[in-house]
Amino acid sequence: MIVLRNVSKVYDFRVTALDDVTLSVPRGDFVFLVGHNGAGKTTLLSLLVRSDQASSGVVLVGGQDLAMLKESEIPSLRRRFGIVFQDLKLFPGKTVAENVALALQIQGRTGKHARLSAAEALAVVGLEHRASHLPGQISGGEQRKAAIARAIVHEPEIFIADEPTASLSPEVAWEITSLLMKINQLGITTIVATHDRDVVDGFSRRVVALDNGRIVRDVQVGRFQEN
Amino acid sequence: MAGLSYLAAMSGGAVVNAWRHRTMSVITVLIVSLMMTTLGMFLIVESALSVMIATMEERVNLIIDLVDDAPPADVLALREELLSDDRIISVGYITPEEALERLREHFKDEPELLQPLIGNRNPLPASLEVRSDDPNYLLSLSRSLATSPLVKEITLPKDVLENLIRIVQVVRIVGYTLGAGLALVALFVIGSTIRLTVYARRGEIEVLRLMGASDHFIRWPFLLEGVFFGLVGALFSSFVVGVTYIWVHELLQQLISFLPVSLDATYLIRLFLILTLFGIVIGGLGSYLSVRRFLTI
Repeated sequence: MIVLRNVSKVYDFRVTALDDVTLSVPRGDFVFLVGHNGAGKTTLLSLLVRSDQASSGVVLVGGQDLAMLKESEIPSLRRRFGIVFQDLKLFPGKTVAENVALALQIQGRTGKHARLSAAEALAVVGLEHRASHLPGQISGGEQRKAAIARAIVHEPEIFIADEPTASLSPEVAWEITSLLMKINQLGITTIVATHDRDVVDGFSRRVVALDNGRIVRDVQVGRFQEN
Repeated sequence: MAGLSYLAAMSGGAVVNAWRHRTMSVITVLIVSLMMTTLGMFLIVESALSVMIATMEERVNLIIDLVDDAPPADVLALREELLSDDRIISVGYITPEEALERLREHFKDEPELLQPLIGNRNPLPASLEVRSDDPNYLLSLSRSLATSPLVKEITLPKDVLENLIRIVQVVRIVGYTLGAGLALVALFVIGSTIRLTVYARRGEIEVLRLMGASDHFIRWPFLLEGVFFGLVGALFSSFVVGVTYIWVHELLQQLISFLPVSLDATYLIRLFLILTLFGIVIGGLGSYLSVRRFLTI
């Protein structure tokens, strides 16, 4: 369960990125976080993994108040997440399989079992045949899949993806979003920040819309924009 | 087992990182090797000189030339008195004939040089040859015996020994000072290389942090990379020192065969271990200091 209660985030005392946001995401839920660039989507995600702290309000992840976390406890919080970054952040010098295995190494898992888990994650996203390729040697869509495999390989409680379909053709965007649905069906709480109208409208899931840092809409089965 | 596998993965990562910026790595390893080789050479020179001194100390004899008419009973009493001291290893009585025989043996290749000196008579006195492992004691003994009526002349070849001891002291001071200076240089070079690596990989470090990597997970590859530089530098310098040692050893044996300059294989192995350990410590410390200063997590 993720809870944000009256959360605001102000940068440099004047730029308000989030303004009195209250949101609750039950375990296993799927949420499209929509809004235009600068609406506050990425800021909200960064608060969840404590790469940023709220200026005011309370952020709870699994009942844990993130403001009370010690610095040394932050890594274990982040290991509960699977993250697909907006710019993917794949390691260019590592193969796809190594990139995926890295998430397991961070968990302290190495060796044969880790290799098997990495192979399984690549199979889930349909990227087994690219395991030994470097990220630079595969297509944009395949890179997204590799990033998704890396985010799910350690079986996280919460999966967050920031603009996972940006700059992709509609077909590939659809394929990637279907993959995210599949991940959610495994029981993983999934939050997808996007401004891809077609994807949001096509999958009919919970939509939380942000505008200028405020939640302007939260509907269980919604569209990108109300007509 | 999991720990080993984890360490292996980390070590592999460190080597891969070193390979990625191989020009810097090669330069670092070369500088570390240079430092370690110089240190190794000093250790060998210092040790060789110490062995020489130890052997020479054993060979330092006090030669007491006796007056021609010394009563045998008095000579015997003097010998007994000398032997009663624990610091004296032995006291040999050398007759004039034995002394002449020794001299002849020494000049056996050039008898013509000796003949004018001795003529047809034996000019050499009887003497007592006192051996001790404490050169300083022999010095004080020579002073106290100088006034004895039995004594004609006392010879103690101490100058050479004292000079050699002084040389070793200078070599030690210069060696250790230079060693410490070079160690600092190596620390700085390894630290700078690690700092550049940290800078080059700051993007990756940020990603690892967001993925939940612990401080240890992020820091260990950098520390191991420093250890790797130190280790490779030490192995390289061990090879150079070993080859040089064998070459110099052969050369010295030809030049000064009368003195022991040989150092056994055990010593050489010990030296390699010292260099390797030193390399690992310097490498680890250099990267640790750099990571602590420049890698803020």
